[in-house]
Amino acid sequence: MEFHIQCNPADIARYVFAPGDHDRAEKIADHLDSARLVSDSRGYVVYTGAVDGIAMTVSSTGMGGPQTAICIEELAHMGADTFIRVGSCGTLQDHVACGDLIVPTGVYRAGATANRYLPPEFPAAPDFQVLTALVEGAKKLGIKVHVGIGSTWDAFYVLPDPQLFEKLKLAGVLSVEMEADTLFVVSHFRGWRAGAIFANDGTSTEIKPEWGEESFRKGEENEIRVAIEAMKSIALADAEAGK
Amino acid sequence: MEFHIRCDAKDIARYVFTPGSHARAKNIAARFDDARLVSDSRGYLVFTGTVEGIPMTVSSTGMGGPTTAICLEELGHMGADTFIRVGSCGTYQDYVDCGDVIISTGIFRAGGTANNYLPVEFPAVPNFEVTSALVSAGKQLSLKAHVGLGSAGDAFYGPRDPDMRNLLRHAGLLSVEMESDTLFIIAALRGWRAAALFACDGTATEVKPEWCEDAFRQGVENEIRIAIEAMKNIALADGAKDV
Repeated sequence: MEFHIQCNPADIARYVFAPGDHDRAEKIADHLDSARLVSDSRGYVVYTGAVDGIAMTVSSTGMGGPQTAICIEELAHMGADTFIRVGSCGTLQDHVACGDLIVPTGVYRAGATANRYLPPEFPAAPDFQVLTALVEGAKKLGIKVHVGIGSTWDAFYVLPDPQLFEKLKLAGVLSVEMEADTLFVVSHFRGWRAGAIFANDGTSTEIKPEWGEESFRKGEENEIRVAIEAMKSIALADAEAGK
Repeated sequence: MEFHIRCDAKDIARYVFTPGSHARAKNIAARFDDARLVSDSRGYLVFTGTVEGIPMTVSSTGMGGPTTAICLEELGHMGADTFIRVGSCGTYQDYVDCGDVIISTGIFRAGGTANNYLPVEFPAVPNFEVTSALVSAGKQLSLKAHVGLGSAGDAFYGPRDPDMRNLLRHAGLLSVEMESDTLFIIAALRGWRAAALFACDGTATEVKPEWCEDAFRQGVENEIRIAIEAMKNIALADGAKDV
Protein backbone atom coordinates (compact mmCIF):
# COMPACT_ATOMS: atom_id res chain seq x y z
CA MET A 1 0.00 0.00 0.00
CA GLU A 2 1.31 3.46 -0.94
CA PHE A 3 1.88 6.13 1.71
CA HIS A 4 -0.82 8.54 0.57
CA ILE A 5 -3.09 7.05 -2.11
CA GLN A 6 -4.66 4.19 -0.23
CA CYS A 7 -5.47 1.44 -2.69
CA ASN A 8 -3.84 -1.43 -4.61
CA PRO A 9 -2.38 -1.83 -8.11
CA ALA A 10 -5.51 -3.79 -9.02
CA ASP A 11 -7.46 -0.55 -8.50
CA ILE A 12 -5.36 1.66 -10.82
CA ALA A 13 -5.41 1.67 -14.64
CA ARG A 14 -2.40 2.56 -16.78
CA TYR A 15 -4.41 5.40 -18.37
CA VAL A 16 -4.92 8.23 -15.88
CA PHE A 17 -6.64 11.62 -15.98
CA ALA A 18 -5.08 14.00 -13.48
CA PRO A 19 -7.14 17.16 -12.83
CA GLY A 20 -6.15 19.42 -9.96
CA ASP A 21 -9.68 19.81 -8.67
CA HIS A 22 -11.63 17.13 -6.74
CA ASP A 23 -14.92 18.24 -8.26
CA ARG A 24 -13.49 17.87 -11.77
CA ALA A 25 -12.25 14.37 -10.85
CA GLU A 26 -15.84 13.48 -10.02
CA LYS A 27 -17.09 15.02 -13.28
CA ILE A 28 -14.59 12.96 -15.26
CA ALA A 29 -15.59 9.84 -13.32
CA ASP A 30 -19.18 10.53 -14.40
CA HIS A 31 -18.00 9.94 -17.99
CA LEU A 32 -16.53 6.52 -17.13
CA ASP A 33 -18.58 3.30 -17.13
CA SER A 34 -18.91 1.60 -13.73
CA ALA A 35 -16.71 4.19 -12.01
CA ARG A 36 -15.90 3.34 -8.40
CA LEU A 37 -14.14 5.36 -5.76
CA VAL A 38 -10.89 3.49 -5.01
CA SER A 39 -9.25 5.98 -2.65
CA ASP A 40 -10.09 9.18 -0.83
CA SER A 41 -7.11 10.03 1.31
CA ARG A 42 -4.75 13.00 1.81
CA GLY A 43 -6.84 14.99 -0.64
CA TYR A 44 -6.48 12.54 -3.51
CA VAL A 45 -9.90 11.48 -4.78
CA VAL A 46 -9.35 8.50 -7.06
CA TYR A 47 -11.90 6.73 -9.27
CA THR A 48 -11.43 3.85 -11.68
CA GLY A 49 -13.86 2.80 -14.39
CA ALA A 50 -13.84 2.13 -18.13
CA VAL A 51 -14.40 3.83 -21.48
CA ASP A 52 -15.46 1.50 -24.30
CA GLY A 53 -14.14 -1.36 -22.19
CA ILE A 54 -10.73 0.28 -21.63
CA ALA A 55 -9.85 0.66 -17.93
CA MET A 56 -9.16 4.27 -16.95
CA THR A 57 -8.43 6.02 -13.67
CA VAL A 58 -8.96 9.61 -12.62
CA SER A 59 -7.21 11.18 -9.64
CA SER A 60 -7.24 14.73 -8.36
CA THR A 61 -3.68 15.96 -7.85
CA GLY A 62 -4.52 18.94 -5.66
CA MET A 63 -2.81 22.27 -6.39
CA GLY A 64 0.89 22.82 -6.99
CA GLY A 65 4.01 20.78 -7.59
CA PRO A 66 4.66 18.91 -4.34
CA GLN A 67 1.36 17.06 -4.08
CA THR A 68 1.14 16.58 -7.86
CA ALA A 69 4.53 14.82 -7.79
CA ILE A 70 3.48 12.52 -4.93
CA CYS A 71 0.22 11.73 -6.72
CA ILE A 72 1.74 10.69 -10.04
CA GLU A 73 4.64 8.80 -8.43
CA GLU A 74 2.27 6.70 -6.32
CA LEU A 75 -0.09 6.09 -9.24
CA ALA A 76 2.88 4.92 -11.30
CA HIS A 77 4.02 2.60 -8.50
CA MET A 78 0.61 1.01 -9.03
CA GLY A 79 1.01 0.69 -12.81
CA ALA A 80 -0.05 4.02 -14.35
CA ASP A 81 2.15 5.16 -17.25
CA THR A 82 0.02 7.53 -19.33
CA PHE A 83 -1.28 10.78 -17.87
CA ILE A 84 -3.48 13.57 -19.16
CA ARG A 85 -3.83 16.59 -16.91
CA VAL A 86 -7.34 18.02 -17.36
CA GLY A 87 -6.86 21.40 -15.75
CA SER A 88 -7.97 24.98 -15.50
CA CYS A 89 -5.76 27.97 -16.28
CA GLY A 90 -5.59 31.70 -16.71
CA THR A 91 -4.15 33.34 -19.80
CA LEU A 92 -1.62 35.99 -20.81
CA GLN A 93 -3.09 36.55 -24.27
CA ASP A 94 -5.86 38.94 -25.26
CA HIS A 95 -7.03 36.59 -28.01
CA VAL A 96 -7.79 33.75 -25.55
CA ALA A 97 -11.38 33.98 -24.26
CA CYS A 98 -12.96 32.62 -21.10
CA GLY A 99 -13.85 28.96 -21.65
CA ASP A 100 -11.30 28.50 -24.45
CA LEU A 101 -9.19 25.33 -24.37
CA ILE A 102 -5.40 25.28 -24.44
CA VAL A 103 -3.17 22.30 -25.24
CA PRO A 104 0.39 23.07 -24.12
CA THR A 105 3.39 22.13 -26.28
CA GLY A 106 5.70 23.04 -23.39
CA VAL A 107 5.58 25.12 -20.22
CA TYR A 108 7.75 27.81 -18.67
CA ARG A 109 9.13 26.30 -15.45
CA ALA A 110 8.40 28.77 -12.66
CA GLY A 111 7.61 25.90 -10.27
CA ALA A 112 10.28 24.38 -8.04
CA THR A 113 9.27 20.75 -7.51
CA ALA A 114 10.40 19.66 -10.98
CA ASN A 115 13.86 21.11 -10.25
CA ARG A 116 14.36 18.31 -7.71
CA TYR A 117 14.14 15.90 -10.67
CA LEU A 118 15.83 17.71 -13.58
CA PRO A 119 17.40 21.19 -13.88
CA PRO A 120 15.42 24.11 -15.34
CA GLU A 121 17.26 23.87 -18.67
CA PHE A 122 15.32 20.64 -19.27
CA PRO A 123 12.29 21.36 -21.48
CA ALA A 124 8.96 20.82 -19.71
CA ALA A 125 7.36 19.35 -22.81
CA PRO A 126 4.54 16.83 -23.14
CA ASP A 127 4.94 13.46 -24.80
CA PHE A 128 4.45 14.02 -28.53
CA GLN A 129 2.07 11.08 -28.97
CA VAL A 130 -0.23 12.33 -26.19
CA LEU A 131 0.03 15.93 -27.47
CA THR A 132 -0.93 14.81 -30.96
CA ALA A 133 -3.80 12.67 -29.63
CA LEU A 134 -5.23 15.71 -27.79
CA VAL A 135 -5.03 17.95 -30.87
CA GLU A 136 -6.53 15.23 -33.08
CA GLY A 137 -9.21 14.42 -30.48
CA ALA A 138 -10.33 18.05 -30.45
CA LYS A 139 -10.39 18.17 -34.25
CA LYS A 140 -12.48 15.01 -34.38
CA LEU A 141 -15.02 16.41 -31.91
CA GLY A 142 -15.08 19.80 -33.66
CA ILE A 143 -13.86 21.55 -30.50
CA LYS A 144 -11.48 24.50 -30.94
CA VAL A 145 -8.18 24.41 -29.02
CA HIS A 146 -5.22 26.79 -28.86
CA VAL A 147 -1.95 24.86 -29.22
CA GLY A 148 1.18 26.48 -27.83
CA ILE A 149 3.47 27.26 -24.93
CA GLY A 150 2.22 27.74 -21.36
CA SER A 151 3.64 28.61 -17.96
CA THR A 152 3.48 26.95 -14.56
CA TRP A 153 3.94 28.67 -11.19
CA ASP A 154 3.97 27.80 -7.48
CA ALA A 155 2.49 30.89 -5.83
CA PHE A 156 -1.07 31.70 -6.90
CA TYR A 157 -1.30 34.92 -4.87
CA VAL A 158 2.12 36.40 -5.58
CA LEU A 159 2.11 38.93 -8.40
CA PRO A 160 4.87 37.99 -10.80
CA ASP A 161 7.45 40.45 -12.03
CA PRO A 162 5.48 42.53 -14.60
CA GLN A 163 8.49 42.72 -16.91
CA LEU A 164 8.78 38.94 -17.01
CA PHE A 165 5.03 38.63 -17.64
CA GLU A 166 5.32 41.08 -20.54
CA LYS A 167 8.19 39.10 -21.99
CA LEU A 168 6.31 35.82 -21.70
CA LYS A 169 3.25 37.43 -23.29
CA LEU A 170 5.41 38.65 -26.18
CA ALA A 171 6.82 35.14 -26.52
CA GLY A 172 3.28 33.87 -27.05
CA VAL A 173 2.75 32.12 -23.70
CA LEU A 174 -0.92 31.15 -23.59
CA SER A 175 -1.66 29.63 -20.19
CA VAL A 176 -0.89 30.19 -16.52
CA GLU A 177 -1.44 27.29 -14.12
CA MET A 178 0.30 25.31 -11.39
CA GLU A 179 0.91 21.64 -12.21
CA ALA A 180 2.00 20.94 -15.80
CA ASP A 181 5.74 21.57 -15.25
CA THR A 182 5.84 18.88 -12.57
CA LEU A 183 3.79 16.44 -14.65
CA PHE A 184 5.92 16.84 -17.79
CA VAL A 185 9.34 16.80 -16.14
CA VAL A 186 8.66 13.90 -13.75
CA SER A 187 7.17 11.95 -16.66
CA HIS A 188 10.31 12.37 -18.77
CA PHE A 189 12.44 11.39 -15.78
CA ARG A 190 10.40 8.24 -15.18
CA GLY A 191 9.77 7.34 -18.82
CA TRP A 192 5.98 7.85 -18.70
CA ARG A 193 3.82 9.59 -21.31
CA ALA A 194 2.05 12.78 -20.31
CA GLY A 195 0.04 15.56 -21.90
CA ALA A 196 -2.26 18.31 -20.70
CA ILE A 197 -5.29 20.34 -21.65
CA PHE A 198 -6.66 23.37 -19.80
CA ALA A 199 -9.94 25.25 -19.80
CA ASN A 200 -9.30 28.96 -19.39
CA ASP A 201 -11.23 30.54 -16.52
CA GLY A 202 -10.14 34.17 -16.98
CA THR A 203 -8.87 36.75 -19.43
CA SER A 204 -5.50 38.45 -19.84
CA THR A 205 -6.73 41.15 -17.41
CA GLU A 206 -9.08 39.31 -15.02
CA ILE A 207 -8.53 36.34 -12.70
CA LYS A 208 -11.55 34.01 -12.54
CA PRO A 209 -14.22 36.72 -13.10
CA GLU A 210 -17.72 35.65 -12.00
CA TRP A 211 -19.20 36.51 -15.40
CA GLY A 212 -16.83 33.93 -16.93
CA GLU A 213 -18.17 31.04 -14.85
CA GLU A 214 -20.67 29.73 -17.37
CA SER A 215 -18.29 29.70 -20.35
CA PHE A 216 -15.56 28.19 -18.15
CA ARG A 217 -17.89 25.33 -17.17
CA LYS A 218 -18.69 24.75 -20.84
CA GLY A 219 -14.93 24.69 -21.52
CA GLU A 220 -14.44 22.23 -18.68
CA GLU A 221 -17.02 19.88 -20.17
CA ASN A 222 -15.31 20.22 -23.58
CA GLU A 223 -11.82 19.51 -22.26
CA ILE A 224 -13.07 16.37 -20.52
CA ARG A 225 -14.56 15.14 -23.80
CA VAL A 226 -11.31 15.90 -25.69
CA ALA A 227 -9.18 14.20 -23.01
CA ILE A 228 -11.31 11.04 -23.04
CA GLU A 229 -11.29 10.91 -26.85
CA ALA A 230 -7.48 11.32 -26.84
CA MET A 231 -6.94 8.64 -24.18
CA LYS A 232 -9.16 6.22 -26.09
CA SER A 233 -7.10 6.72 -29.26
CA ILE A 234 -3.84 6.23 -27.35
CA ALA A 235 -5.15 3.00 -25.79
CA LEU A 236 -6.27 1.72 -29.20
CA ALA A 237 -2.86 2.57 -30.71
CA ASP A 238 -1.18 0.75 -27.80
CA ALA A 239 -3.35 -2.32 -28.40
CA GLU A 240 -2.52 -2.25 -32.11
CA ALA A 241 1.20 -1.94 -31.39
CA GLY A 242 0.95 -4.72 -28.82
CA LYS A 243 2.22 -2.39 -26.08
CA MET B 1 20.64 45.59 -46.50
CA GLU B 2 21.31 43.48 -43.40
CA PHE B 3 24.64 43.65 -41.58
CA HIS B 4 25.79 40.11 -42.33
CA ILE B 5 23.54 38.33 -44.84
CA ARG B 6 24.07 40.52 -47.90
CA CYS B 7 20.92 40.41 -49.97
CA ASP B 8 17.48 41.99 -50.17
CA ALA B 9 14.08 41.00 -48.83
CA LYS B 10 12.98 39.90 -52.29
CA ASP B 11 15.79 37.30 -52.30
CA ILE B 12 14.47 35.50 -49.20
CA ALA B 13 11.43 33.20 -49.05
CA ARG B 14 9.25 32.83 -45.96
CA TYR B 15 10.07 29.08 -45.90
CA VAL B 16 13.66 28.51 -44.84
CA PHE B 17 15.85 25.46 -44.23
CA THR B 18 18.68 26.14 -41.81
CA PRO B 19 21.40 23.48 -41.73
CA GLY B 20 24.52 24.27 -39.73
CA SER B 21 26.82 23.09 -42.49
CA HIS B 22 27.61 24.90 -45.77
CA ALA B 23 27.94 21.61 -47.63
CA ARG B 24 24.46 20.58 -46.48
CA ALA B 25 23.07 23.97 -47.57
CA LYS B 26 24.43 23.27 -51.08
CA ASN B 27 23.02 19.76 -50.91
CA ILE B 28 19.54 21.13 -50.07
CA ALA B 29 19.77 23.86 -52.74
CA ALA B 30 20.49 21.12 -55.28
CA ARG B 31 16.89 19.88 -54.72
CA PHE B 32 15.39 23.30 -55.56
CA ASP B 33 14.31 24.35 -59.02
CA ASP B 34 16.24 27.39 -60.28
CA ALA B 35 18.32 27.69 -57.10
CA ARG B 36 20.48 30.78 -57.09
CA LEU B 37 23.11 31.90 -54.61
CA VAL B 38 21.74 35.10 -53.03
CA SER B 39 24.43 35.71 -50.41
CA ASP B 40 27.83 34.35 -49.42
CA SER B 41 29.09 36.51 -46.61
CA ARG B 42 30.28 36.06 -43.02
CA GLY B 43 29.94 32.30 -43.43
CA TYR B 44 26.26 32.34 -44.37
CA LEU B 45 25.73 30.55 -47.62
CA VAL B 46 22.20 31.41 -48.80
CA PHE B 47 20.34 29.98 -51.80
CA THR B 48 16.77 30.65 -52.92
CA GLY B 49 14.79 28.60 -55.40
CA THR B 50 11.43 26.85 -55.61
CA VAL B 51 9.94 23.45 -54.88
CA GLU B 52 6.87 22.73 -57.00
CA GLY B 53 6.55 26.44 -57.58
CA ILE B 54 6.82 27.38 -53.87
CA PRO B 55 9.70 29.77 -53.12
CA MET B 56 12.08 28.34 -50.52
CA THR B 57 15.39 29.50 -49.07
CA VAL B 58 18.24 27.57 -47.51
CA SER B 59 20.88 29.22 -45.35
CA SER B 60 23.76 27.70 -43.45
CA THR B 61 23.76 28.98 -39.85
CA GLY B 62 27.28 28.00 -38.92
CA MET B 63 27.90 26.26 -35.61
CA GLY B 64 26.57 27.33 -32.21
CA GLY B 65 24.14 29.88 -30.82
CA PRO B 66 25.66 33.29 -31.64
CA THR B 67 26.03 32.80 -35.39
CA THR B 68 22.69 30.96 -35.56
CA ALA B 69 20.85 33.80 -33.81
CA ILE B 70 22.22 36.44 -36.20
CA CYS B 71 21.32 34.28 -39.17
CA LEU B 72 17.71 33.76 -38.06
CA GLU B 73 17.16 37.38 -37.07
CA GLU B 74 18.40 38.71 -40.40
CA LEU B 75 16.38 36.17 -42.39
CA GLY B 76 13.39 37.17 -40.23
CA HIS B 77 13.97 40.84 -41.06
CA MET B 78 13.77 39.87 -44.73
CA GLY B 79 10.44 38.04 -44.38
CA ALA B 80 11.26 34.47 -43.31
CA ASP B 81 8.83 33.10 -40.72
CA THR B 82 9.00 29.31 -41.02
CA PHE B 83 12.24 27.48 -40.26
CA ILE B 84 13.29 23.86 -40.39
CA ARG B 85 16.74 23.08 -39.07
CA VAL B 86 18.20 20.19 -41.05
CA GLY B 87 21.08 19.26 -38.79
CA SER B 88 23.45 16.59 -37.63
CA CYS B 89 23.70 15.32 -34.06
CA GLY B 90 25.21 12.80 -31.71
CA THR B 91 23.10 10.65 -29.40
CA TYR B 92 22.70 9.66 -25.74
CA GLN B 93 20.85 6.41 -26.43
CA ASP B 94 22.19 2.95 -27.27
CA TYR B 95 19.21 2.18 -29.48
CA VAL B 96 19.86 5.16 -31.80
CA ASP B 97 22.05 4.08 -34.72
CA CYS B 98 24.40 6.03 -36.91
CA GLY B 99 22.37 7.52 -39.73
CA ASP B 100 19.09 7.46 -37.82
CA VAL B 101 16.91 10.54 -38.17
CA ILE B 102 15.64 12.30 -35.03
CA ILE B 103 12.75 14.79 -35.01
CA SER B 104 12.96 17.12 -32.02
CA THR B 105 10.06 17.74 -29.62
CA GLY B 106 12.08 19.85 -27.16
CA ILE B 107 15.63 20.75 -26.18
CA PHE B 108 17.62 20.88 -22.94
CA ARG B 109 19.08 24.39 -22.94
CA ALA B 110 22.82 23.97 -22.41
CA GLY B 111 23.56 26.86 -24.78
CA GLY B 112 23.98 30.47 -23.71
CA THR B 113 22.70 32.60 -26.59
CA ALA B 114 19.02 31.85 -26.01
CA ASN B 115 19.42 33.07 -22.41
CA ASN B 116 19.93 36.57 -23.81
CA TYR B 117 16.38 36.28 -25.15
CA LEU B 118 14.36 34.32 -22.57
CA PRO B 119 15.37 32.79 -19.22
CA VAL B 120 16.31 29.09 -18.98
CA GLU B 121 12.95 28.17 -17.48
CA PHE B 122 11.35 28.92 -20.86
CA PRO B 123 10.85 25.61 -22.71
CA ALA B 124 12.85 25.23 -25.91
CA VAL B 125 10.11 23.47 -27.86
CA PRO B 126 9.36 23.47 -31.59
CA ASN B 127 6.16 24.64 -33.26
CA PHE B 128 3.56 21.86 -33.19
CA GLU B 129 2.33 22.32 -36.76
CA VAL B 130 5.82 22.13 -38.29
CA THR B 131 6.84 19.20 -36.07
CA SER B 132 3.67 17.30 -37.00
CA ALA B 133 4.42 17.99 -40.66
CA LEU B 134 7.88 16.44 -40.20
CA VAL B 135 6.50 13.36 -38.45
CA SER B 136 3.81 12.93 -41.12
CA ALA B 137 6.31 13.40 -43.95
CA GLY B 138 8.56 10.72 -42.44
CA LYS B 139 5.60 8.33 -42.42
CA GLN B 140 4.52 9.35 -45.92
CA LEU B 141 8.02 8.66 -47.30
CA SER B 142 8.37 5.49 -45.19
CA LEU B 143 11.54 6.87 -43.61
CA LYS B 144 12.00 5.91 -39.97
CA ALA B 145 12.47 8.76 -37.51
CA HIS B 146 12.82 8.87 -33.73
CA VAL B 147 10.64 11.55 -32.14
CA GLY B 148 11.69 13.05 -28.82
CA LEU B 149 13.78 15.38 -26.73
CA GLY B 150 17.41 16.38 -27.18
CA SER B 151 20.01 18.80 -25.87
CA ALA B 152 21.87 21.73 -27.42
CA GLY B 153 25.13 23.10 -26.02
CA ASP B 154 27.85 25.57 -26.87
CA ALA B 155 31.16 23.79 -26.36
CA PHE B 156 31.78 20.87 -28.71
CA TYR B 157 35.19 20.19 -27.14
CA GLY B 158 34.35 21.34 -23.62
CA PRO B 159 34.68 19.03 -20.62
CA ARG B 160 31.78 16.56 -20.24
CA ASP B 161 30.05 16.12 -16.90
CA PRO B 162 29.40 12.36 -16.74
CA ASP B 163 26.74 12.70 -14.01
CA MET B 164 24.73 15.17 -16.06
CA ARG B 165 25.12 13.03 -19.15
CA ASN B 166 23.78 10.01 -17.27
CA LEU B 167 20.87 12.00 -15.89
CA LEU B 168 19.87 13.27 -19.33
CA ARG B 169 20.28 9.83 -20.82
CA HIS B 170 18.03 8.42 -18.10
CA ALA B 171 15.45 11.12 -18.91
CA GLY B 172 15.37 9.79 -22.47
CA LEU B 173 17.19 12.52 -24.40
CA LEU B 174 17.92 11.37 -27.92
CA SER B 175 20.07 14.00 -29.65
CA VAL B 176 22.97 16.26 -28.78
CA GLU B 177 23.79 19.19 -31.05
CA MET B 178 24.45 22.95 -30.92
CA GLU B 179 21.74 25.11 -32.53
CA SER B 180 18.15 24.05 -31.76
CA ASP B 181 17.84 25.78 -28.39
CA THR B 182 18.59 29.10 -30.09
CA LEU B 183 16.23 28.36 -32.98
CA PHE B 184 13.26 27.38 -30.79
CA ILE B 185 13.62 30.19 -28.26
CA ILE B 186 14.08 33.01 -30.78
CA ALA B 187 11.22 31.65 -32.88
CA ALA B 188 8.94 31.74 -29.81
CA LEU B 189 9.92 35.30 -28.98
CA ARG B 190 9.59 36.52 -32.57
CA GLY B 191 6.38 34.63 -33.31
CA TRP B 192 7.88 32.43 -36.04
CA ARG B 193 7.30 28.72 -36.63
CA ALA B 194 10.34 26.49 -36.19
CA ALA B 195 11.16 22.81 -35.97
CA ALA B 196 14.24 20.63 -36.32
CA LEU B 197 15.40 17.23 -37.39
CA PHE B 198 18.86 15.72 -37.28
CA ALA B 199 20.80 12.88 -38.85
CA CYS B 200 22.81 11.09 -36.18
CA ASP B 201 26.53 10.89 -36.97
CA GLY B 202 27.66 8.86 -33.97
CA THR B 203 26.62 6.40 -31.30
CA ALA B 204 26.09 6.69 -27.55
CA THR B 205 29.79 5.92 -27.09
CA GLU B 206 31.52 7.32 -30.21
CA VAL B 207 31.70 10.88 -31.59
CA LYS B 208 31.58 10.92 -35.41
CA PRO B 209 33.36 7.58 -35.99
CA GLU B 210 34.74 7.15 -39.50
CA TRP B 211 32.96 3.82 -40.02
CA CYS B 212 29.68 5.69 -39.65
CA GLU B 213 30.20 8.03 -42.60
CA ASP B 214 28.15 6.12 -45.20
CA ALA B 215 25.21 5.57 -42.88
CA PHE B 216 25.33 9.23 -41.84
CA ARG B 217 25.27 10.40 -45.49
CA GLN B 218 22.21 8.24 -46.07
CA GLY B 219 20.64 9.79 -42.96
CA VAL B 220 21.30 13.29 -44.30
CA GLU B 221 19.70 12.31 -47.60
CA ASN B 222 16.65 11.04 -45.66
CA GLU B 223 16.29 14.09 -43.44
CA ILE B 224 16.49 16.43 -46.44
CA ARG B 225 13.70 14.52 -48.18
CA ILE B 226 11.55 14.63 -45.02
CA ALA B 227 12.21 18.34 -44.48
CA ILE B 228 11.33 19.32 -48.05
CA GLU B 229 8.17 17.21 -48.05
CA ALA B 230 7.11 18.75 -44.71
CA MET B 231 7.80 22.31 -45.87
CA LYS B 232 5.78 21.70 -49.03
CA ASN B 233 2.84 20.48 -46.96
CA ILE B 234 3.05 23.48 -44.63
CA ALA B 235 3.10 25.87 -47.59
CA LEU B 236 0.09 24.09 -49.10
CA ALA B 237 -1.78 24.32 -45.78
CA ASP B 238 -0.85 28.03 -45.56
CA GLY B 239 -2.17 28.51 -49.08
CA ALA B 240 -5.42 26.83 -48.09
CA LYS B 241 -5.64 29.12 -45.05
CA ASP B 242 -4.69 32.04 -47.29
CA VAL B 243 -2.10 33.48 -44.88
